[in-house]
Amino acid sequence: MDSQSRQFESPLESHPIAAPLPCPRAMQPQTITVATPFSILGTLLMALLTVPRMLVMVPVLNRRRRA
Amino acid sequence: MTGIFEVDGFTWREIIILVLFAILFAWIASSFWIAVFGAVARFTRTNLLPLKPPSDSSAARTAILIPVYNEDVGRVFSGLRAIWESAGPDFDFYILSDSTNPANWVAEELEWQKLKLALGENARIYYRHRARNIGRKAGNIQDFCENWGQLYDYMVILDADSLMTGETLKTLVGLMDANPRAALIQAPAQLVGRHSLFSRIQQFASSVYGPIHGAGLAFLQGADGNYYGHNAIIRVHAFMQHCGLPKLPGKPPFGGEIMSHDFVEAAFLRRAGWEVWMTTDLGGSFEEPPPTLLDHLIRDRRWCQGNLQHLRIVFAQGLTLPSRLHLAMGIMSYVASPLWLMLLVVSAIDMILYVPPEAASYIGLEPSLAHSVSYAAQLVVLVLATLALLYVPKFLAVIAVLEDPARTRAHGGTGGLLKGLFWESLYSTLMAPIVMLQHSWYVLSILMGMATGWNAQTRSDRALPWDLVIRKFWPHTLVGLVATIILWWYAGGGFNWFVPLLAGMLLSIPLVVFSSSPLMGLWARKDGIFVVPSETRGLPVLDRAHALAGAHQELPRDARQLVLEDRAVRDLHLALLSGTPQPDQDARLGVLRAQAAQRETAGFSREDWTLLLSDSEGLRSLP
Repeated sequence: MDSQSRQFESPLESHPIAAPLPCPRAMQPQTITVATPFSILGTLLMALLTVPRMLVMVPVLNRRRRA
Repeated sequence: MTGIFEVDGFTWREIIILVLFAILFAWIASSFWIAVFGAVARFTRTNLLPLKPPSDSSAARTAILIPVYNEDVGRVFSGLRAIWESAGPDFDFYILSDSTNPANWVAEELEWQKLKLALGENARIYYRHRARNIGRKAGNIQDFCENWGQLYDYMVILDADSLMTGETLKTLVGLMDANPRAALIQAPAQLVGRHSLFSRIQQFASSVYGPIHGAGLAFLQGADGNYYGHNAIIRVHAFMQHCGLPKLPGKPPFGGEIMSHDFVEAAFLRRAGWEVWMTTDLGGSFEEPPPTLLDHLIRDRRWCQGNLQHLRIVFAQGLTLPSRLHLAMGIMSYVASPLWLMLLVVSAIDMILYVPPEAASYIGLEPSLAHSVSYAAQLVVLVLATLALLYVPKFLAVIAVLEDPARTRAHGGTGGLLKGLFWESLYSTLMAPIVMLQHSWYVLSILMGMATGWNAQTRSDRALPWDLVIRKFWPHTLVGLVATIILWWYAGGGFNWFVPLLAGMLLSIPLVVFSSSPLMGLWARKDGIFVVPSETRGLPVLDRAHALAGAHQELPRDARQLVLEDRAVRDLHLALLSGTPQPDQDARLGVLRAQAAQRETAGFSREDWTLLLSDSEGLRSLP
């Protein structure tokens, strides 16, 4: 035994616990719908089609709200 | 710019220049406006964290997690002890080791035991080593949550070089108690504690410019904040419920495990309706910068891949718009480099191929002199606007410091601050083209499918040797040299526009060598340049960590050998190994056991040692 390493020596029974007893509960991986080039293109296309229609509808909706 | 190009009709080169310029101008404008909003928030004393104030006392249980991966053991445990002494015994500390180097593994166990014995029974400091690094750092945190997460209300994630004061930790816990919808509060880490010239420049920038930028972000994002992976407090049950990371379809670098997990975890928390905040005024949160530009760029390779992987996530369904912006800005911080490089190359080609309009034109058959219209004024405005976007945030930040006499003194006084501003601006201007080339290569290599590994970071000061820097940066110099020759010969008067960029590339090798030098850093300190408050005012937690690291005794022998030769070390290792599965019995393990019994370990590889040290049965039977 290397005498210099005795600075770390301690009786076995004095070893403190490394960590508390585990209390297991699994983490579930979250669902994520990853984008593909087609889905990005599709989203942009849908936005191009729907946003102008929504903008056109704004005055109508406002009039209805006022009424 | 469009007006200038359309005089003689657009060419394909000019269209490319216009598109690239628009993207890059928008990118630097976004940084500029964040800084402007930050300055306005600072000057008007706006409350950037509109949360209920922290409660005085807390019954919550908080774990402080320190994931480590082949780190300098002395530094990790010195930092941990300094935080523990500052925070008191109210917190549980976990060293979550993913170290794959067997010598580090055993050394960590010994240091942990030494620390436990030194601090006494009061200290709840735990150590866990994972046999397999599933999911890298995110997997390491997930492993903690799955085993011990239910025991805690909050967890504070630290990096191996992070430091936090006890006061800050207690305030964060109080804020979480008082604001039950907050799932995460990020305490941005200020850079401190290193001495090389490069580190000093980074520390100065972090201390002077960081608060303005952070305030701007906090002002704009509110509860839609982001997470930077460490120096943050997290509500454990929200994290466990919503932050299990999926594997992305496909292979790395774009598929597989999510590398830059922090942005994604913040996005998931926001998607689930939890609040994510950033506190900019709390202070007491620190980390150390990379010691050299080389180390900075090595770290950037990993971050670049992680951020580019977010291209798959940024358009994913269900994320909030601010989360998408955080992800997009992370992507853009790397993609901007190749775009800038393309802009420069196309601009240079356009300059070289440019044919000025003929001096005369014809109206019918009659020659008439062309009206020459100068666009110099518009060009000057454009250049000045670009320079303003780049440098005005720095001036705003310095004004914000000068407004506070105590902060000004802490940065070396008005003179020191202004000198720091000048030299930092010069250095960052010269560094920009080097980083641009390096990032462009990273993006290209990732697009070609080259994935990076997971290497430990160099965190200690080191003066880089010339031969190493020449090996790493000769391509930058060569690119600069070739570009200088081409532009000098062919670009005419346009050459001058490229001088700052070419200077950075041509000087890359001496710039990296000299900025890595702790001696140059010391000279700057003596001249009162790049002085930061942690030096002038002192920072107890940092000073204590440095003192402990300075007094740390290295192990007298190879830690792996100690397991074989020192019964007490072996018993400790076996005690910590309990509960981990026994490795498969194969012929190689049999040979290793026999050689270990004879102490014939000279030919053992790293994998051999890992196998042997995981073999509790074999270790128990050793003489």
